[in-house]
Amino acid sequence: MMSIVAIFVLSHVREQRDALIDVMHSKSRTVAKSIALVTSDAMVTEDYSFIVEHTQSVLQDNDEFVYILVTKRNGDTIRATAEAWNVMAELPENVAKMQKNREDVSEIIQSSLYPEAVYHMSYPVIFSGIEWGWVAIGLSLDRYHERLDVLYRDSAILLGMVLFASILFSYILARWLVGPIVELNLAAKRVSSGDLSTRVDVNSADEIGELAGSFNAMVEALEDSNRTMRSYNVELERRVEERTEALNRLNRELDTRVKSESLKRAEQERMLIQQSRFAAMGEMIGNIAHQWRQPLNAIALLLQNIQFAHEFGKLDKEFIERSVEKGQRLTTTMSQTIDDFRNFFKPNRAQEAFRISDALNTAFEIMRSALENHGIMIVTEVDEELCVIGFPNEFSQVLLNILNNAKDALDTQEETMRRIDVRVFAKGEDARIEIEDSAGGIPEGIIEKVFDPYFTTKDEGKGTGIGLYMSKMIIETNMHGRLDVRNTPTGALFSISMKRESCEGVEDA
Amino acid sequence: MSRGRKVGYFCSMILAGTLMAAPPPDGEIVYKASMGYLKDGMQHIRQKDVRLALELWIGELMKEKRIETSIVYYDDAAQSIEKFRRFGHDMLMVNAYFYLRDEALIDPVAYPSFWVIQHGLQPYEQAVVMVRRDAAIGSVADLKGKRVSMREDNYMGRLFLDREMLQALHRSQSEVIGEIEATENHSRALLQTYFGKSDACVVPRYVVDVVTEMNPAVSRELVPLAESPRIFIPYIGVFHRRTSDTMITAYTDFVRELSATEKGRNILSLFKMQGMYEVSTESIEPMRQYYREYQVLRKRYGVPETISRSAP
Repeated sequence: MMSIVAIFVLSHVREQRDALIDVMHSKSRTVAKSIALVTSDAMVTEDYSFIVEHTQSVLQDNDEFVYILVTKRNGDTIRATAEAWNVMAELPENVAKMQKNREDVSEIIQSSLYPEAVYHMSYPVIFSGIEWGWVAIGLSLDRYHERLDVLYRDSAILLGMVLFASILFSYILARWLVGPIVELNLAAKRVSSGDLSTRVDVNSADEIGELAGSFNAMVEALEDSNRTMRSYNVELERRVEERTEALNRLNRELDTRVKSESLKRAEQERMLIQQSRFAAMGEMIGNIAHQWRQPLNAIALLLQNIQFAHEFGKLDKEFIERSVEKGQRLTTTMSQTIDDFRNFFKPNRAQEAFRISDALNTAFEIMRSALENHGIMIVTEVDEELCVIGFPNEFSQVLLNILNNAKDALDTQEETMRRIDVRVFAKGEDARIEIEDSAGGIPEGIIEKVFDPYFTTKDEGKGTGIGLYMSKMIIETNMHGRLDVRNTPTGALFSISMKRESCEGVEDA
Repeated sequence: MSRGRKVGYFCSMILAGTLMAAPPPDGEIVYKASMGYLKDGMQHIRQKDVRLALELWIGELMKEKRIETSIVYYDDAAQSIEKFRRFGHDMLMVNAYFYLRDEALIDPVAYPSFWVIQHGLQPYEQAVVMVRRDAAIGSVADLKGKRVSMREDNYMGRLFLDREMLQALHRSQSEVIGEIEATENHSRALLQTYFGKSDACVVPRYVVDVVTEMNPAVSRELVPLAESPRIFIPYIGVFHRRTSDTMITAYTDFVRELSATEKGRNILSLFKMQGMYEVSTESIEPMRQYYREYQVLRKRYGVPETISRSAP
């Protein structure tokens, strides 16, 4: 459409420009002809003053004409303008060329006659068939340019208006066509953002209207579905709340149970410790009993000797003094045994560096009588210069516990086969203690459970199932070492690994 | 006369007196003026359409001053002067030559001021004889037998040339030169000389200046032979002694405001004049004296006055 209008405007402009030139031609020709008619007599009679006056009169009455030339046949030309006139002997070449014709000639020219381009009309003065000269007129192009400017401006305005109208029409058309789609798009976005109350108000009878109806129906269905889902959701939330309440209730009950169980467990722990203490005390009493058995026999023999001495009359002062001294020595030994056991079961308050051999000797000392009584051979291979940091008495208790278990296990073996190998050696940064018995080992099915609390293979009344559990706790929790067990071809091997420490400053026991 | 008629007559007198004493309402004509223009010697009003335009414009402008104006154009000087003398006109506008010639008839009834027209840049004009450089004219005496151009009614130019001839040759210009080649206007006379149609011309100085400005080549071809003193006036207007002061005041204002209105500027353009102004009797005395000297010379040498065909 714009192209058609542009072509029309261009054509119109061209026509108007030609029309303006035609107007200039007509006007200048009319005036030139008029001047020729008026001045022809003067040209014939060479009344140039008349020509000057007349041309100036014409120029003053027509401000569009910038000059008038009246040329005689001989070439002399009177050039008149509104402000001046003069006689010219020679014309500019292009102007003179136009005066060669016997017909009027006109064109837009640039010459020395006027500083600007003019519409120059050259009109021959023919009188009685004789060419007397020419009248030439220079018509200013100012008005022509002004009208062209107006024409261009009007054309531009027309084009602009058509362009504007086209854009407006296109916009309205686009809105008319695309508007419902845009509305549908916006509605779809609102729906997608959750606003299911959105409806589109498009009632046209075309496909867009049909689409809008389908859209509205779809949104209504979505709204219904959403409503249903919300009711489901409310029900679900209600159920979740109920379940949550039930879970909370259960949790509270569990908490109560856990607390109760924890209390029970703590009580059990306390009882276990108590049992452990009792077991230790039983062990201690057993060991004391083993220690005391010999001095008690000696005291019994001493008393029997005193009775025999008295019966045989040999109970004299020396005998009594010797017997008292002997009895006192025996009671002192027994008292010493009690002190040793008391110190052994007294827990250390602070960690300290100690020699493993010292702790081992302490355990051996306690176990010595019991082991001898059970015919158990102790084979030691001990590095005397290995020290660790910890609680020496508790460490001795662990060794005592392992030795005691080995002793109990070896009771089932023949006396010739009863043997405990004790090895203390350095391994890397650690000190390692291995206690290996020859009791045949722990059955594979239970070896992993030997450190569990209350686990025991001993007859009822002989074991509490606490010893090894407490031993592992002492080594691994309190002294940051490691207590393991495995079977060897001959029996069970308990190993303790602890970080080695310098023995500097550690006194010999 | 009956008593009732006496009362009616008395009332009419009272009413008439009251009406005469009361100021006229706005726009009402307060004076009807008549002006006489002598066409002879006033080349600009030769054409009828010019006269109609002049009457129309002056009438409209004066009407704004509540003066109704009519203009009568005369071909004959004596007739116009006679009419003026009898107060047939409030004002008479003539070529200055006719005033000089008939001042004895005009002055006795004239208001002691004059209204004159200025054509050039200066209020008083100067007549000049221009000759072609190649015409071998060195003095006025050399004009004998030469072709001399002059505007047909350039009476002040003729007066100047006649007086120059009387002084130089003791003869009138018509005797020495013969028939003057009359032209429609001053510039035409000058151009005729420039283009060689005449050997000399008598024109006002301002015309030489204008034409020379338009074509400087003119000054190279033409040279001044004789120049009058700058005392001439082209046209002169006189009021009658009995003319109302209202009219004189209104006309004075009209002259002063000429260039300020569109119609006034049209009048100036029509007469190709710079303006009009009021002059005293003394101001034109040099021109009158010049004419009296001419008359003395003419009478001395017994030469008849042939400046105008219009009889005194």
